[in-house]
Amino acid sequence: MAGAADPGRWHARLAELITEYEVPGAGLAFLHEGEVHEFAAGVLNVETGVEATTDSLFQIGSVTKVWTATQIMLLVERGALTLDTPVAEVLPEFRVADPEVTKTVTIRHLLSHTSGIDGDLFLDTGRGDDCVEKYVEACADLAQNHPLGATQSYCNSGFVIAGRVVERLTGKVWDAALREQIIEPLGLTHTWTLPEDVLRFRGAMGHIDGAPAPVWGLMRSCGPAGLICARPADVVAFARAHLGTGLLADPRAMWEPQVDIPNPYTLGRQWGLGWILDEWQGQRIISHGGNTIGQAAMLWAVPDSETVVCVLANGGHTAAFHHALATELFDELLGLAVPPVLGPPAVPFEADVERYAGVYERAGSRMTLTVRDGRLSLHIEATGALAGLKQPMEFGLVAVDDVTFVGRPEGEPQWLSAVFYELPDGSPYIHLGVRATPKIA
Amino acid sequence: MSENLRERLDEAARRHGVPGAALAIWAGGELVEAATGVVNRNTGVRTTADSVFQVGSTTKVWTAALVMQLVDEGLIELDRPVREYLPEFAVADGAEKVITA
Repeated sequence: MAGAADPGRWHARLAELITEYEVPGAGLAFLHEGEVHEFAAGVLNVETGVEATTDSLFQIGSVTKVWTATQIMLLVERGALTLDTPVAEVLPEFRVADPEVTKTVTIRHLLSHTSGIDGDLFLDTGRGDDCVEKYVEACADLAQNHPLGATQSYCNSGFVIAGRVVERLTGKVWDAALREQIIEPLGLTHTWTLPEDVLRFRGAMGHIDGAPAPVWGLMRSCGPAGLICARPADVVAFARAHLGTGLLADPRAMWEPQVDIPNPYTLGRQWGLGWILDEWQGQRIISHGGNTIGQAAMLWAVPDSETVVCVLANGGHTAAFHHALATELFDELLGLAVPPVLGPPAVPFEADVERYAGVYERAGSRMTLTVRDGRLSLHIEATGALAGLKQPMEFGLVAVDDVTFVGRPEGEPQWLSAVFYELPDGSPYIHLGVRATPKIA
Repeated sequence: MSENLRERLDEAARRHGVPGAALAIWAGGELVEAATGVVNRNTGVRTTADSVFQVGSTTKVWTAALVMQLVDEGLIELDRPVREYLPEFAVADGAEKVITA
């Protein structure tokens, strides 16, 4: 219960958890009752054997999106734009495939993943300071995953576009603007974006199937969507600033629900601006996770209790690891129960599955659902630039109710959930991995 | 040999204030490696024989070897002007016409 926690035991406990979930190395920091506690366990790279320390930098991946959203909010508070300003007003050269979306998509759509712009464009536009500009130029070909504002679908490209908005309004490249707007004001010494800066510290290498990943990081063009490297304590300090007025005059504006997530069983129930919103036993939770090439990050904050937890890991069964750690730590710190991961129902549910069979596709991913012996089977394959880095996988789906299904890829301890639903115009979608994917055949 | 080498490397690094160093010697058909100290005094990560250092201008010998591979392939002749291969090449005093590969 609150106050009875023994932070010191987490030195040993973190080491046990990484062993259990086959995580090579991890860093953990949490803010509780005004104090920050830091822990590390394991190694940064199984081939070099260099040990993880509390000062080691891990890739925080998409947790970066909360930082980019914060940069935009700093500009909103300064009066440089509003959330409902069309992107095209700030970036007159901006284009996506749909001419109407080109004209009307707003900053709010980008920060709440509701633009419908195909989100998984991983395009390497080089390492130059013009990489974000070139990426946004290439967005001219991006089609709509769903009509503007019609639903929520995780959108990496939208955050790179938001990063370009920051560049235009600050006159600086995204990395430099990030330093000036957030990193330096907060005095964060172990938060960097470029590999040549990360090299000056202990830096984690991602692992896939227990071995170092074939490449260290993502392409620089994806910076505003996911390229920050940091130690856990710096990420905690960033979130802590959102609990007061350390960065923004009104950080709560970022927790205002913008959209319900059609599948509320994966990361949370709603999206705010940058932040994912959930409720555990009536307590508001704001969070974000991140996955890069073999590294995985989680950040949770409980604003009413002024508690923040950040855990960074470089491989293994990270989703199950994060969930197990959060469940144990939040119970200990606040007596707060983390909702269990949705699994199969105790009593089998018979759903009409034929109507869900077919092919669902968006940029970067194709899902094929087939019915075998009355049960749904899901085949997922990556397409595009990341196709070579992710193996296709196939697993059976178990019905939880008429629209909700769960499944577990072979060798994974964690269940995944999928929700079938229709947009207001009646078009069928599947919502899996916080992305909306339309049925195309 | 390598134990003795490492001790001498440790001693030399200490005496000259070198944070970390690595050494490899190819002699008599044998490769001997040694390492000492740390790669970064802030992180304390120990130097190993597998640690990657900046080799700086040693790179020039690598670049020369790359050019010589092109010579072997007949794509470059060492005494032809650079301008034949890079028509846009220029230097301040106009010597680009006589500078050879």
